[in-house]
Amino acid sequence: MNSRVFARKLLAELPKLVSSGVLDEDSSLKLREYYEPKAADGANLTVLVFAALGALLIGGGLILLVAHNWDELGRHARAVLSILPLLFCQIMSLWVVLTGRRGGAWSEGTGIAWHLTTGAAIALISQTYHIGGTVPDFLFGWALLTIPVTYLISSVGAFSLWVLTWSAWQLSAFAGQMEFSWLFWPVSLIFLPYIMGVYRDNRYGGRAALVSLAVVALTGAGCFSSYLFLKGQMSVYLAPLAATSIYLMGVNCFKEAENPRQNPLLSLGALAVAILILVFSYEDIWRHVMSRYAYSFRDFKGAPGWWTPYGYANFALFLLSWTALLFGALKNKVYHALSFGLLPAAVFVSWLLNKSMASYFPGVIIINIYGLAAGVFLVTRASKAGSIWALNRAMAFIATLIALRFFDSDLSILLKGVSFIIIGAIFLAANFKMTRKGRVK
Amino acid sequence: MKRLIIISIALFSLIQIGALGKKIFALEDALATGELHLFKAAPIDPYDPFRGRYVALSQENLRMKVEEGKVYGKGESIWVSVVKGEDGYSSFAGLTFKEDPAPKVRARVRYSSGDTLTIDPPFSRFYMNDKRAPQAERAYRKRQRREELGAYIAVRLKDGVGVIEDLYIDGKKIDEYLREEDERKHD
Repeated sequence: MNSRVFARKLLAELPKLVSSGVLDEDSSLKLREYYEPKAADGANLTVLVFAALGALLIGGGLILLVAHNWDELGRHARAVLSILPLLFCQIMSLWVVLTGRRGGAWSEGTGIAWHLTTGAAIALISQTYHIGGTVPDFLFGWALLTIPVTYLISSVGAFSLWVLTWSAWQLSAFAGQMEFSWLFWPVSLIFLPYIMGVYRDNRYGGRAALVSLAVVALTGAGCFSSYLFLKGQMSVYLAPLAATSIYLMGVNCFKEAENPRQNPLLSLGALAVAILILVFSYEDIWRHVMSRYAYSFRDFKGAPGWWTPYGYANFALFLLSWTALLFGALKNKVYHALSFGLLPAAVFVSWLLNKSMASYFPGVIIINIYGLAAGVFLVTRASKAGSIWALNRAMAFIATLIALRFFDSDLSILLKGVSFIIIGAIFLAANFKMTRKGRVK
Repeated sequence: MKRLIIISIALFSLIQIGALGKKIFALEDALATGELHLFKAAPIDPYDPFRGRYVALSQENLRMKVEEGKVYGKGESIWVSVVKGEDGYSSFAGLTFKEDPAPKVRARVRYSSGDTLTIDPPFSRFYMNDKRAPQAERAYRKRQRREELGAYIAVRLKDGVGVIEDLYIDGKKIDEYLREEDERKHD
């Protein structure tokens, strides 16, 4: 049961338990002290979400108002107007801290508004004075000018928006602003203490879930931004290494999560790994990977900044993270993590065999067998644990892998149809069997 | 702790406002005391999701010579000198350096090949109201088909800071030009 729902039910039961003599007053008081913050967490989160939504709407509306271009106001009035909303948010932040509201809903709303009004101010100044520059230029300035907001106002909403701004900048930087791109990870690391702090407070709460989503976004941006700047076949391993690192982080650091929502790293990491297995199970992908000209950075050769070292540094970072997290899982005896966690190794072995045999076919077979084995293992595990959701997820993965191979093949429509019916029947039978056993979680 | 946070917010707020204020001051200073340059421009009308509708501008002479063996990467930031021509219009003369006292602007390398490189136009955007920007482009294109039509921007340059003062079509400020276009339509 959800810990919040459980806490509420238990708190409601306490007076009855005390009056009927099952529990004494002291124990009741201790239970109340322990469970009250957990029960309140949901209510707080709802307020936080609405405060964040309100601030997002106001800030978004402000950016749209800026985009309208109020040229009838005159240059000086617009220059002053560009800074006023930002000034208001700064004063609001002081008020939030002075009145002891830091860390709550007001903090979230103010933090988000502060981030957005900074962007609106830069946009309005650019517009008023016809400053050129590309969208990456704009995003870069915006992100740099809002780094401390998260810490000052303790707002997870401001942090999430900062991550979005920074990731969007990094992904678009190769279109015209490359000399600072190497700053991506060093600047992102400024937020490591904040991330650790949120996880330390309550790693299974709503704030931690948002922070985990931000971590996934940063990893994704780091992975894709370095894709073009790695020589040859190294870029093939980037996405598997990044996806499995996220997945293993979820496995190692969120062991007590009760549902996928409490562990977005595991959920999103597993989803990314599953998608990658399906992608690498195709012949065409391996034909592309093994092609001599598939990966070159000819368009970016001689680009300013440290693009090539940045690419290699990212590769090393993901490789180290994956190795450390995999060993961590083994050390903690979480052997089931190997099912999805070994994808980079499977891709490497596939590439090695393809290379030595001068063919792309061994890779296709290895990844398909690996995917099928991982899927069967996960189905068995879910079945033993009696988790119908985990069982269905694992079966959906196997079914997709099989369906893709059927679409690939030259089998007759009749055979394909019969096969799909069989897969569907297995799905239903497994669910039915599980429900009848009464072992469903 | 609370006091430290308050002081930090106040300091950071000052830094934020100061950074934006400094930028505004430099731009205002260039507009007030900068040297006037006219650049030929061809307007078209795209959209920026954050800064709204603008008239995209392109200038002439974006290609320039570079010294043999020197490689410039795509997107690299460089200084470009500006010279006034006999026809009254200014153009980009070649690469220069930050300390050069002559008129100059910052530009980004679009591509470089051999002993030449091409820059992105340093004055690339003229922001307009979301209704009037497409109007400006349509009017310009329509008349350009019928007759030789000049479009140029007036730019104030000071210490490497360049600010567009206004966009001119057919010798008239864009506002005036559009007003006259409207009147012509109503007649």
